[in-house]
Amino acid sequence: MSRPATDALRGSLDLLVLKTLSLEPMHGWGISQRIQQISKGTLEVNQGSLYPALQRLEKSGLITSDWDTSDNNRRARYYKLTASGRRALGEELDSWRKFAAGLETVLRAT
Amino acid sequence: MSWIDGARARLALLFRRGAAESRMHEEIRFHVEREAERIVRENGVAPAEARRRALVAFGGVEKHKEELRAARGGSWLAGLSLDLKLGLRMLVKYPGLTIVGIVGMAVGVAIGATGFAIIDTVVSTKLPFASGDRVIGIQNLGGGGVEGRRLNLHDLAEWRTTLRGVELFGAYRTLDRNLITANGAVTPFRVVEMNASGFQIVGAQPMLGRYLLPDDERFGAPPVVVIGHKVWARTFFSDSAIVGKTLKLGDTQYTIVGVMPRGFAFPINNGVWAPLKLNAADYAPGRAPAVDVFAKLAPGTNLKAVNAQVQAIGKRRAAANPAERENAVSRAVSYANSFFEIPLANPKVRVGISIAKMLMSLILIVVGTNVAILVYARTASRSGEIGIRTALGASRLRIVGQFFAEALVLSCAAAAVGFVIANFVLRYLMTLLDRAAGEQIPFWITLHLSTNTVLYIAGLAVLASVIVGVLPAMKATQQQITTTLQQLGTGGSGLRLGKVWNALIVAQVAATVSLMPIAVYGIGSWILMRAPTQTIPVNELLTAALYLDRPGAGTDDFDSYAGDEFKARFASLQADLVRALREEPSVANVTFANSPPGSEAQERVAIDTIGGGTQTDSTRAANSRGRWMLMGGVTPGHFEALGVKPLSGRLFEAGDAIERPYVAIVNRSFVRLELGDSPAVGRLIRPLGRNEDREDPRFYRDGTRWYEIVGVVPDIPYVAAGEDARSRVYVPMRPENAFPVTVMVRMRSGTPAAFVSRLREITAKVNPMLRLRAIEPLEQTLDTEAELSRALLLAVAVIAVAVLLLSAAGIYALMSFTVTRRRREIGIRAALGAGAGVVVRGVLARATGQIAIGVAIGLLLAMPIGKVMSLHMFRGWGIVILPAVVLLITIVGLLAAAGPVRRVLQIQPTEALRAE
Repeated sequence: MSRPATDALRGSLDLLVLKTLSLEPMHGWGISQRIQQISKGTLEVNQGSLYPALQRLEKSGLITSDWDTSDNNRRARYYKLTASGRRALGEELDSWRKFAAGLETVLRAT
Repeated sequence: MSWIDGARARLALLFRRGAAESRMHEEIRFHVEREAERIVRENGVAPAEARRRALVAFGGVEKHKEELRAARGGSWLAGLSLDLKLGLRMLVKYPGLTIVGIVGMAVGVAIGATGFAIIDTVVSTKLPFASGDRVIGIQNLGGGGVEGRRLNLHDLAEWRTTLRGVELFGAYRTLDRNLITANGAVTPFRVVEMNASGFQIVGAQPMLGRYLLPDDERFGAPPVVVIGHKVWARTFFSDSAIVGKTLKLGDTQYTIVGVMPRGFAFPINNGVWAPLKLNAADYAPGRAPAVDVFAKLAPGTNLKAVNAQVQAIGKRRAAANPAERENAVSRAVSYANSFFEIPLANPKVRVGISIAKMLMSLILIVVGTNVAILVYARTASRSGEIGIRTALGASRLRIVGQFFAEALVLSCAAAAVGFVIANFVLRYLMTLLDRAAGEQIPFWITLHLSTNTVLYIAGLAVLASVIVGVLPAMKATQQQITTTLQQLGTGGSGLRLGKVWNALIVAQVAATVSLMPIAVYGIGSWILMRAPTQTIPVNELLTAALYLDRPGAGTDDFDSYAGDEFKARFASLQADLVRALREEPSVANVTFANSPPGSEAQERVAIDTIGGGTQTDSTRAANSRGRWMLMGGVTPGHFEALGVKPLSGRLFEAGDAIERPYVAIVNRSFVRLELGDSPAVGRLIRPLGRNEDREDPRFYRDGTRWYEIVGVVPDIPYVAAGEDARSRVYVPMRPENAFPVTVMVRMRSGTPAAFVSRLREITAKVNPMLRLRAIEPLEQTLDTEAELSRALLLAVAVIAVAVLLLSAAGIYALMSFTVTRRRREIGIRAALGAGAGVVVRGVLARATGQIAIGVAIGLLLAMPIGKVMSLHMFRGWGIVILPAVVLLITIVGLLAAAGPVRRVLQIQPTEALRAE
């Protein structure tokens, strides 16, 4: 296992989760479905690795979670963005866009 | 407030562990079910297939769960409680290892904790009252001239006036006196004469009446005393109207003016206080009675500054009076520490104390290493478990942690047992100390398991867990998972043990055997301890030490006990005492000696070559250093009083002590051990004195006088089982020449114990300054001694058994482990056609070889150890026990080898080959 790759993945996964939750509170399976839907299947994350990411974000106070009833009337854990999570999403998006733009510039130049 | 949200989430994850686990399970179940439903809906496959695909998409449920657990933070905590449960289960599952480990480590912990507690008690002593740490002692240490404490009284006047930053100066000295109450009860007592400031330093208020005041110290003031709670309760039966009543100390009558509360025992461990009425002006410099000085540091000063002032004064006084104060040193020290003379300020000493404390744990480290070997052998059988857990995603740290927790359970159990043992030993030691020297042990010194010691024990438990758990686990988790898992199928253990471990077996056997002399001595003697054979009627004898107190003389004014005038007075009072006792109908006889039977002092004695001596004798005599023997001084009539009849020659006669002082009587063991049973009467011996006692005239002999042996008596009082017979030499003595002198009363009727208080009364009636100490029926003295040696032997035996047990288990584990490792090799050999006999012989030959080498080395080491400790391991039971233990070790080793061999022989050749 090479750590840097994991870290890069982890970083982008966090961003995706935060972005997804900025729309509405959602349970884990729903988040994974939403990411797949929005990305039209290009971003296929290993579904299991979503949960450590959720736990990590919750521990850093960016999201909170609570039990609720799902659309098919089953108990599910719903995650929602906190105020600081929303702030963090803004900052992350900014830096991601800067990074992506920078990368784009470099790629276009060569 | 992200940190609050985060913290709440963290806390919930950390402490609501059960909830976190069930939440995780439920979330993942929900996820997989929803995904499966989706797949059924979208792809129309069967539910079972959909579930399989959902699980694949999720990607390793257990792996993710492990990741979640690890990320929860403090996973070690959850792991720990689980591991502790596992550890407890391990204790039950491997009872052999549990027993051996607990017994071995408990002994290690007990020794460590006892040693630590003793060092801690001595080193970190504090006076148990407010600002007790500011109390100091100011001392003069003697140089070539006079004893330092005799300078104190004169110096005190100058210290009082010149020392800055010091207050509440005071001095004290102790006097040994008979405490005689109005109803005539007599108790020997150590009284302290102390300045009134001593009460102020402690700041204690009297329970009844008042304490001493400076006015009481005035010459001509009526004699008064203050008594302590214990004396008030025991001697005066808690009389609430005690103030104003009188008591006698020796020949002086005192009025009781107060009672101090429980716990007050300043300055040492005292219970009766009288005013100190000493005036330096009455004595020539250096001739004053010995006193000790205490004082209190005023706020804002420190000991160092005061010490510098005291030293300066000492130097100035020494310059003015060089004859007396040559090399004398003046100093100020912490009062609490002044009784042990440990220079704590010296960094080297501090380092030394730390090292000593660490050495105390050395035994546990040795024991722990042994247990670690056992655990390592067990770890080998669990390498499959380790491999599987690693494959499932457990980190190395996690696995090592599990082994640590398991070891922690074991070592905590051992620590608990060790704690109980140490507590018992310390209490026992304290009782012994109290009995031996109660009033000399400072009241603030109590041997007990202090907080420090308990922390030390806890530290020892963790240390033991690290040795026993972490080290084997580190070693076991070194190799690659794949190797472990591969070997799992073959049944072999992947842990590699090479020559090192073969050497370890040899070393273990050698160490065990070399400990034999001590083990044999301890176990053998303990088994054999029994009632000694008596050659004198011990149940009829009462012994006591008789003193004569001098008016005005303190405990330490030794020179007042010398001189012809004192001796003459002592002799005439002794004669009065004998007369008074002979009038008692229950007394059969009275006699004097310089020590009770069995407590004679050691002295070197040379033996002549004349009188038909053999070659060996002359070699001994030529060696002018002589041989150590027990030397007793007895009065003429002593042996007759004890009912002893000479085996040959005669007993001492009335004139021997005066006109013919150079005669001697020896015991039966002397004749056997020193003369090889040749006739003793007429032979000459030369007592050489005790080098270390040259300044003590009681023991000093110039070593030029030849004494003629005039008689032989049986061994007195006894030869204890397990103790070697000792050569004893008796010389005639005049009773006034021993101080204190041992008086022995032989009863005609009634028990010696019943006569104790009567003897005190008669003695005090002859003269109140005649004081008896250590009054005890001889039987009890001997019992106490026997009890003490029994306790010591028990301790040695327990340690020896623990070591033996541990070694046997270690040998078993090592042996069975190495043979298990050769399992495949043996299987292949069997497959290739080797007969069972050949295989077994091959393995056992190697095992026997290792054991034999170990035993040989061990015996070689045992000889010098036995010699140094002068234990005779080939005498008596040693001759049975030693081979028995060697046999035991051999059997243990062979049994350990036999089990695996038997299992190996059952392997089918195909199995062995498949392993390759």
